[in-house]
Amino acid sequence: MLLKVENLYKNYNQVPALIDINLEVKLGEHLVLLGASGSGKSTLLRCLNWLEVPTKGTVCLDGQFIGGQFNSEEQWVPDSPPKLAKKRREIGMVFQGFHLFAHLNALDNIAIGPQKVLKKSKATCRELARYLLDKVHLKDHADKYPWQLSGGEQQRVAIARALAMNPKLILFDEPTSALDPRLTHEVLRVMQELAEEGMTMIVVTHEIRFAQQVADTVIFMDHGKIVERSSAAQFFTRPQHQKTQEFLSYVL
Amino acid sequence: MLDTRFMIEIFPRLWHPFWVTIGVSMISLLLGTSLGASLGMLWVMSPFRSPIRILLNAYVWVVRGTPIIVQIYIAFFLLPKIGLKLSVFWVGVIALTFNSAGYQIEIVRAAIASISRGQQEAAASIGMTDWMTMIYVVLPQALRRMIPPLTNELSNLVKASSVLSVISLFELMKAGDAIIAASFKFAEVLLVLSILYFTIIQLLSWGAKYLEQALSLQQTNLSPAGQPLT
Repeated sequence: MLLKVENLYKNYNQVPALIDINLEVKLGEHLVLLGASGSGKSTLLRCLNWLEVPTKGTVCLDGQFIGGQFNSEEQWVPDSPPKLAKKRREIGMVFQGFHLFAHLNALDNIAIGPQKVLKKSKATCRELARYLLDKVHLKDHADKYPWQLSGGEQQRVAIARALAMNPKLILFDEPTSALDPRLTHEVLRVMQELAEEGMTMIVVTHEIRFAQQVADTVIFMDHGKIVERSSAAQFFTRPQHQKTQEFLSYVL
Repeated sequence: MLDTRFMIEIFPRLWHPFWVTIGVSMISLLLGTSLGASLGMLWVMSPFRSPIRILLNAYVWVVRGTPIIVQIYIAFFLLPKIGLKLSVFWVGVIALTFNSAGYQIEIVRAAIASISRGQQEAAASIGMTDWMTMIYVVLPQALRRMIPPLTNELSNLVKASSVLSVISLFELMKAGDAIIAASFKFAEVLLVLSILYFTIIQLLSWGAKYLEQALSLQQTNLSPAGQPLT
């Protein structure tokens, strides 16, 4: 099991946003999180790499707890910031708003991670960045700054930036929600190619077609809870829960 | 009418005070910027309601809430009491630095706050610590945004240095006062002083403008029209 989430809770000022989340992701698995806005999908994703600190519960990646560890007396000891940063390298993340570094061109946006965080040589990082730009079909855009790129191009650079850290897992937080259909297609194509290469992915999305094509497993969330978890084939043809059936009736 | 010959005659006598004004304001600006930027970053990096933040807030309140003339007098009378016997020039530098750093904390804080939270989360997600994010992502973008308010602060500082005449620093204002006392030609002297202050500030503003453009060409985080895009 690559990722194991156990008894995860998140409250915002006593208001529960996530309630008793348990899930497992296998190496190479493609998990899609579906659900209405406000159902806790993004919060869950952000708890996985500790951008949001859960109120309770654990996230375990490849045998290592994110955000802390248990000492010999079974007490939870939170990670120091550098330790947490080190664990976060293993988990890539792609955001709805792209969030490219505005002062760097596409190449440097990708190279900065391996160069500054992994302390690799500049030449190695630039070579890696060029390779990854090619992989996301943006070979000719290396020198462009974020404001010179379309949304779809920015998002593909953001995917390459995440890949540059060679993560064990990539989280996608509504990666195409800010894009028009054509740009969405460009981004989904890159994601599909990654999936075919065996990258482990957890994707929050409203793109049902993408979910049908790429997902191995689908989780449906409602009001901070996991309502249904099943294989993609079963989820779309024989949804079990009434809420799921209702949701699918809107989107299919 | 104005005695223009007199105005030209007094220029040489203001030459040295002119450089004292430039010296005291520039040294204060450099020290104030270093101190203000460090404290501003410390403010940003320290947690909400931490003692450091409360202390820095109090500092800013004091600087903003009291007249600069009071701050200068306090420096003048207090520093010798704690064993620091300095020339008035350096007392002036300390008073202006103390004042300027207080304002610059706010400038740095605002510039840093203007960089999107999303970029900082993106930096965290590729394994950067908060300090790395600050150095490699936030500061390069914030620096450029700090230049226009810093230019403002600089021009304030040059003019505030005139208040150092109260502790007998022989800068432009003090020198002008001396000439007025001897000649009673108020209008002429004040006009010449204004021209000299104006010249200093204008030269420094051009320098800042140049720096701002050089930085924006070097790191194109603005569209050609000048609007920030992210």
